[in-house]
Amino acid sequence: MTTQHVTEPERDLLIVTQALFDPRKHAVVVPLVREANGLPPAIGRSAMRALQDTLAKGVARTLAREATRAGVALAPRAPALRFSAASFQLLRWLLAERLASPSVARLPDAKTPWTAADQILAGLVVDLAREAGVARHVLSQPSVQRAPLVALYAIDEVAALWPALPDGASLATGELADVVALLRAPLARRWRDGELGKRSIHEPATRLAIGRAQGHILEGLVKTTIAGGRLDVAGFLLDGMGAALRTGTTPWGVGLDPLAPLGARAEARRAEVAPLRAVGAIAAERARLRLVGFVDDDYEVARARLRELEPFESMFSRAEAVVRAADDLEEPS
Amino acid sequence: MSRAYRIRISETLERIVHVEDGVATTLEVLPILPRERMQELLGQELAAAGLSIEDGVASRTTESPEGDVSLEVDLATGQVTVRVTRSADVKLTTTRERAVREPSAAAEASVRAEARAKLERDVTDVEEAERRAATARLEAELRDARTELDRVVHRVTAAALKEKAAQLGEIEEIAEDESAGVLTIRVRV
Repeated sequence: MTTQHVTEPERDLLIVTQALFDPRKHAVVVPLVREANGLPPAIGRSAMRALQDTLAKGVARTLAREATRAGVALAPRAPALRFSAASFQLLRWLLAERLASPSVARLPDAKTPWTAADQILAGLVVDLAREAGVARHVLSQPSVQRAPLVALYAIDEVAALWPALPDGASLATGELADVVALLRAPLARRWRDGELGKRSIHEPATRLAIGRAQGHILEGLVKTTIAGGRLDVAGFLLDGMGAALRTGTTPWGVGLDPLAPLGARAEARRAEVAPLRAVGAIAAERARLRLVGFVDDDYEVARARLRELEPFESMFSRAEAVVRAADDLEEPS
Repeated sequence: MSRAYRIRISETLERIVHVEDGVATTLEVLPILPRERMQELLGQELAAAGLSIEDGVASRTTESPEGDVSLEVDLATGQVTVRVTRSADVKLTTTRERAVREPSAAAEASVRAEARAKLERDVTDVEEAERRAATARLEAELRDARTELDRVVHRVTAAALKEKAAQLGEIEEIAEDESAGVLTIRVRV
């Protein structure tokens, strides 16, 4: 066994990186994220080796844990996990900058595409930064804004901070589609919480912006998911909205400032049911699949997809009723 | 010992405040007959309800001191727009005073700017109050409009069903209970 020496700032970097994969440790590292720790632009070889090892094991374990939790088979979908310089730059910036300050230096942008592993890491960084009260700084970085998966992790904040939203189709193809399918459980929780949290947002313009952002991302994602026969990629949406609808505390249309113009409230309400409209698009696909006959070539495929959708049968009609009520300007119930 | 001067400025602001609030929704008319015929029936029922038809749009404007209410129905798309507009002549006056060591044009301009800023804030408050009144009116009107349009849609549906029944055979009996929304047609085919 050999002992590897790292400097104090490098040790902080490793501790924070480990905590990213274990939310129970977030509270411990929040002060390290909020304050600058003087991490230099380059780190030693020992620290780099330990960082690479922590990242590789951490992301792999996270995917395995979340996939198990959601009952998703990991093996056929396991994406190749390769980290680029973007991950190191993000982690270094997270430690080197005093993020508790009102303004911070910009995260260097390597301008190279974020790999799937980089994007998982960025999503976890946003989670930690949110607990540290500095998510706004992370999400404001142009470099982070090129990671579409982050939009699924923080759609509410992204709506106000990103000048342009990614096409949801990019999340439903290739490696990212596999990642989204594997992260079904945590993403479903975020989207459920996002919906339930809407009732505490009173400003119609804010809810309109969130709804539009959700609609933008989900339109491409669901369309591509259906076209590619990957309903598992939209699993987070079905699980999340199913859970939100089951709570019985309808957030849609509720809590909007009663003194705001009715036109603005109506527009916000129509926009904010975007996730349920996306569920409606999946319900329409279910109706199409039901019409596939025994003699048709894709009968078996259609049956298999219908089986995937069976657990959501009752949710489809509830989602449709909420959307119809929003469009018809009925009182929320 | 220096004397203190007092600058006193009165400013008046006159403005016509115009506010509006409106919402749009869609009428759901069952496609019992061909689209064009359904549009005709809808137009007839809306005309009977007091709306005037022009360029495929049925509309009605009701003027009142609480605001003008306009109801528009696009016959082709079924889009319904209800809008309330209010206008008010606003005349506001304010007076500002300031003690200065030396009277000067700059000091006077500063006090005047302060008075104007106060008037602009006041007129914004008036605008907001007017807008809230328009919204309250719209909420009430929307309830009435929904009830009225539901009745129109029921009549259109009933008329279309009768027409459809006549196409199918000889109508022997029609029993209609509009309050319960029940229509029974007996047809000999």
